[in-house]
Amino acid sequence: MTRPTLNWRHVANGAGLVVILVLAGIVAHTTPNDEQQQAPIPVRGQLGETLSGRNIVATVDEVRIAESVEASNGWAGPTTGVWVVVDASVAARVDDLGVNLGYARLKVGDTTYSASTRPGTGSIADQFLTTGIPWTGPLMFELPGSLISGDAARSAELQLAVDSDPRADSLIVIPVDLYSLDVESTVSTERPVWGTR
Amino acid sequence: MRPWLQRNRLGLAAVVVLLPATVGITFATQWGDYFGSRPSAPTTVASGDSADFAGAGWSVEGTRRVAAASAEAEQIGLPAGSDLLITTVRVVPDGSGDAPQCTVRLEEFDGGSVARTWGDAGYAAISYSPAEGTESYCAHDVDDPYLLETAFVVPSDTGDDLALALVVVSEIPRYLSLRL
Repeated sequence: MTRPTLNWRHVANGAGLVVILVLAGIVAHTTPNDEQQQAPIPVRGQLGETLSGRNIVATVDEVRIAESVEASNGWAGPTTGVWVVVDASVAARVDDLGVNLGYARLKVGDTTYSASTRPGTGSIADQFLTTGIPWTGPLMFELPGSLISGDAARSAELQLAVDSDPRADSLIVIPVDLYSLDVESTVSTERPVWGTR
Repeated sequence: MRPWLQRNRLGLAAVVVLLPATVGITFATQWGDYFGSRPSAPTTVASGDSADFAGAGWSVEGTRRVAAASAEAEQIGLPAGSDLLITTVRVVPDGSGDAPQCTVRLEEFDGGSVARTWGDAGYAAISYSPAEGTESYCAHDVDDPYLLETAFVVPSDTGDDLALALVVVSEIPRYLSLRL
């Protein structure tokens, strides 16, 4: 009885099949899912740094916490919590057709707070933007007082984007340590200004 | 025994033809809809020339720039670091009684492609009044020729390679790019 001879062609076919299966597995496991495909594209930076996204240029200069706020337009914000006041400068980068600062949020732990629109013209929340000419002014976030003394406050994130939906678009992300900030009794904010500083 | 490539030449030829055709048709359909629904096909009009478009004749009559560091800029109340660019376009309706309504945007070019755009300063917080005898918007109820004046607040670093993008909804994706 003769021993069967090794058929190299069959071996090559088997090896080819294995290679194809491995490649298919890699493609299947690395292809972004729907959520990942539409996720905002983060542009990370620090306080004082000018950050540029697809159609946004933003600089956040200062973050303060206060028990009450007096806005430049006379609005005063009573709250049972605290106000996080962010001084920022924001412009559209390439196109200003219907573009506004529609997404200004503060993420603390798993909870996200939108910038308050209650101050009206005393804030740059929802402000319509111009290409290359920044709006500079405050954003006010109303938070529960207990939140800023928790661990999550150490790694809060300020998030800015044009329009109300940052999916598949740039999202400016700036880490903020709220825990280390002193709580002032009152903060008075500057009038929002259109133009370079 | 014939080589593998020769035995499978028909199948391989089909793959070579059908794969690019499938990708091409898919892309063409998707991108065709995308570009077809927005101003994406400019008709470029050189500075000083005129063009017939959407039932009217269009030509740039003049352009004026108010620099940031000027007394006029201060009077207008321009934001710091910005200029006011004022364009005047002569519009000659074709007399059919249905003059086109339009929107106008300013485009800045860099390397032959549009780099930045601005909408008109109609709602901007400045004190600028259009010149007498001009219209601020495309006049729908006018049969006689008129001057369309549009002002734009732009950063002072805006270059001189500019065009006025004139869009008439019924003509989309075509639009007029009047070089300044």
